[in-house]
Amino acid sequence: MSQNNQFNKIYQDNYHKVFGLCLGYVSGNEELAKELVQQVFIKVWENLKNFRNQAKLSTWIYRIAVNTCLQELRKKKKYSLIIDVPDEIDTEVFEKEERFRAMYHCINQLSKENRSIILLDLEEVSQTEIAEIIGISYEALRTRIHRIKDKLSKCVKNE
Amino acid sequence: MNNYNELKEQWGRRSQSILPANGATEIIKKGKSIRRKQLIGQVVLGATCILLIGFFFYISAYTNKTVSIGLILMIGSLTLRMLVESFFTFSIKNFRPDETLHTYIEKLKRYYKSRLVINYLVTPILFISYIVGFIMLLPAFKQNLSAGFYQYVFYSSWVIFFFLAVLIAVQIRKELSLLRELKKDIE
Repeated sequence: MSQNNQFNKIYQDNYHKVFGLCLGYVSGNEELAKELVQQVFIKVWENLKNFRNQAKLSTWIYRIAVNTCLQELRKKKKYSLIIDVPDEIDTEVFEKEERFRAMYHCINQLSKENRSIILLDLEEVSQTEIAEIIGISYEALRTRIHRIKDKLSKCVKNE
Repeated sequence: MNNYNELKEQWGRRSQSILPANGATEIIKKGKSIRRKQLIGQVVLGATCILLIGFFFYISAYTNKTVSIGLILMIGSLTLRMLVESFFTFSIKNFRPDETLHTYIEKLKRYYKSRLVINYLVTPILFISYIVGFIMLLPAFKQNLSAGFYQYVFYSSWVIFFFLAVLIAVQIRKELSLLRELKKDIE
């Protein structure tokens, strides 16, 4: 398979996962998330020759996504939450948006490392994989995740 | 932990993204254009150095000792600054983004710490050398330029030096704050 075809397949298979993760980093701002996803995949393309199957492909891509999103956010600094508000305010929709707003707000209170851990967990990435992405032991990660979940649940409840 | 499980379930119900048509092709195009730009940057830098050295010989600067030292100081500090800057730009662009978050942040910290040494030590020395070189050239400027143009060169250069100093200070502040932020990134 040529490098371009291989990349095409990687892009199609992983776009939604990377988008979901990036969206979490920018508090649901879809335009910014799209920009981040583009940066992530440019790096995937540039570094494809370095992928040696030592890690799972998804772990490798998530590492690039986490590092790239954080690096880009250090440059951007400020971004705002954009959620489409319908003309006729539906109570259910409104409540859902408020819950997301609270969640994003609480996730933003965490350190960048903890934010990455919990965003990966929310994206259903396995804990073994998260430990490999962040670079800490599985045991340390388990304790950490427990603490973050607790903190996040309390924060959202108080919002 | 029921609360968190509810949050997770809710998270899974966020709106789905749409896979852009030709997205991969666009990314490959952008990647190739970035590579081209990097190459052009290296060519421009090399050409500038050659041009400056060529200029030195073209005006036979070596025949006058003061002019010669002044020009060497100015050209030398400018060239060194450009080389240092391009080295740093090159090294950060070559950071492997597929490292673990911990390794990546540690590398970034080391990078910005070495930038601070450059900004606090090397840049001021080069900046002062550049100004000293300029001062050494002033008599030659006075001799060879009209009075009006000499005044213009004299005063405008000091204004430029002032803004350069401010720019350097702003850059140092920005990189210091980045370093502080990086220290907070991992627990």
